[in-house]
Amino acid sequence: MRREFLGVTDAFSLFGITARPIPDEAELKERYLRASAAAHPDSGVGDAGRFAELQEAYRVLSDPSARLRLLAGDDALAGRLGSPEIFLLVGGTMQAANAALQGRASATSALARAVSMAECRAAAAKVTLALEAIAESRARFDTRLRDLDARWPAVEPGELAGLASDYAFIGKWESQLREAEFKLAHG
Amino acid sequence: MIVGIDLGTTNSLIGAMDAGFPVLFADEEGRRLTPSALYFPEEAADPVVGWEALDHRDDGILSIKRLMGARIGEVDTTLPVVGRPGEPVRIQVGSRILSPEEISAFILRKLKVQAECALGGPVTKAVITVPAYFNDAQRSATKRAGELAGFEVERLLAEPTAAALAYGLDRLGEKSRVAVYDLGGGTFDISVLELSGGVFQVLSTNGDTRLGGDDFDHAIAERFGISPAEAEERKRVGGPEIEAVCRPILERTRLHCLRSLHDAKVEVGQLDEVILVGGSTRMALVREFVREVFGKEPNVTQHPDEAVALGAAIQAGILSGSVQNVTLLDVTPLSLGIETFGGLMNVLIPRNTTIPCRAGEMFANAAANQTSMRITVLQGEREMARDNWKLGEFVVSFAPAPRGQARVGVQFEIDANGLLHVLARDIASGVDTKVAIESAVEVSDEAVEKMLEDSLEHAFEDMDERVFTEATIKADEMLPAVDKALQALGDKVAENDRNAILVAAEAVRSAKAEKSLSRLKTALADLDRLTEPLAAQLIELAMGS
Repeated sequence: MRREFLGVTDAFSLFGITARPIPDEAELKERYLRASAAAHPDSGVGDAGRFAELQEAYRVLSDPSARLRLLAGDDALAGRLGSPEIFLLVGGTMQAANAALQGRASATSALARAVSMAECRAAAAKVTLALEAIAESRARFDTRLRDLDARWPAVEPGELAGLASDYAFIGKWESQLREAEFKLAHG
Repeated sequence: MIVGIDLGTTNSLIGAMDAGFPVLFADEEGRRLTPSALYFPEEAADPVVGWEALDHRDDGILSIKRLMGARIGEVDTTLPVVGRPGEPVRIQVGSRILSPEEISAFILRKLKVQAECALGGPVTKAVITVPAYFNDAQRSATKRAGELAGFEVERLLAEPTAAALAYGLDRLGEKSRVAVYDLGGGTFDISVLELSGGVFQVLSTNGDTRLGGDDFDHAIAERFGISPAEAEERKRVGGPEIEAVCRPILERTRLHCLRSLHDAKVEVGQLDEVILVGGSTRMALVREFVREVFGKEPNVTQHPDEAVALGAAIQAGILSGSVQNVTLLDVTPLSLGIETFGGLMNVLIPRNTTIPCRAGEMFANAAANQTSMRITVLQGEREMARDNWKLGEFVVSFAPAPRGQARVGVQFEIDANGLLHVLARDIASGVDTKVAIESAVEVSDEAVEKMLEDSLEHAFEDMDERVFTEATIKADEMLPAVDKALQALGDKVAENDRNAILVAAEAVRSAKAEKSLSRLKTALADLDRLTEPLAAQLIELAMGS
């Protein structure tokens, strides 16, 4: 659906910036704000359709995974499954976190609450460890991203698509872990 | 000319831009604040609104905003509500039955006259503020109230965003990141914004549309056995006793603040200012609380009662073109989704998405020649559809076709007012139709009634069974907790105590097996009492680790 209105060049050219793996973040944001202000329905000459398009384009360009997929084009197949060790680590951690949260939500006696509190603390420690592992992966991916950017445009679509799916996996896991971290800490 | 209105729970104000500055209009007595209070004298058609209505507070109407867009059963009120659970709230006023928006319209009419006197001419267009966390029904009701009062409602504006406008108007060149903590008479909002070169971008918003100063008053009134009016007086004076009553209510705002920061991906330390607005932020206790949560001195430069109305006037100026180079990028406070298989909510537009925004979803016929499909639209953050607020339902119509061949694309659009519009496009014909959403009430009317009848009928026979089920659930929770606790604490539990606990646990097990309600209750109470010290020890252990 998104592809229908945003081609490879469109998202970048909507903001008038050059398509590459690492766009200038500050400039992108500045242009996004200017363009959004101009297209906002309040501006008098605004256009809700174009405004929505700008929001979507900015979301894509701000997310390394979506941005790389855009640069790779439709033909590049990724088919990578992320690192299995991290997958197992995150899966186990999320299971512990959800069990602890469930226990806390259903606890009605002082004893059950105390038990669940201990479990929540233990789960929170696991979540912290998993987030550290994710941060390490992200740092490695960022190095690859900088390498692609340095070699740009002499890169293979497969390299872009591969890194895109790597980012997509840790991105999904990270947001799940962050949500669990928040709930464990603040109820 | 467009005016800006703050339609508050306790007080309302009206203003407009004048020579580049937002100003508020006063009444003939020179008062800018109009109490959102009404009193309907027996025979008169129109109510007394504002200060005079406060003399009749016992049989008048206060805090009507709390009931805007509410369904019966969703909210507690002392007003005489008419109707069945699930229906939109209606109030019995003398011989009349009025909706909250009709009642609010009287307040808006009074403000309209006030503005017309000040401006010396008719006023027909308005920006009206709403709590940022208002859902679709609450926003729609506010818009209707404006229309009933004779306004074209040009925009519904989130209150904390309005306050940020008032704060930022003379700082357009600066870049900063601020939080607005808005605790009014009946609602609480927290928003995190980035201000950059005239663009006010809301990063996240959170809140509770039924939490405010009124709750402090009620709690104080209940605690000391005094009237709400007296409670308000005591609140103003303050003191440790009052703070002890108010503190737990105030605590409820903490999670919203933390959630808003989390969603905005902003750390407390990255905020330049925490701006306080809303009448309740005058309380020393509230300021102290905000200082504690955000770790910084709150910014109290904005007038607690007037900032939101000034912001509304500025937004009115933006829309009429008299304020230039200022843009608001606001967000939708609640995730929007539809119910899917298994009663789950499928999110189409996540909360904190910049508005106006759109999302598309494709629906196909699940059986050959199926003519229609009913779609339930939800707002909220819970995983299960039933736990979210049901916005309404609509029907997608299919042309006759084999299974999966008839397809209809549905576009959900949230406009700049935060209101939902749905558009359906028949893929084969390419024809767009605006889809009418039936409020959840209209469609579930009979069902609600039947549910009520059923529940009354079976209430007594269910009672014992339900109590036993509850006790069993508690037993199932307690028994493993006891095992875990004993294991975790090891020899920290004295031999005698351990044995007593094991005996009590066994008693629970056998009572449960024999399905004896009375024995189960006694055994559970014993086990609860005996394990109480364990809970304290466990918490100590967890904190120490």
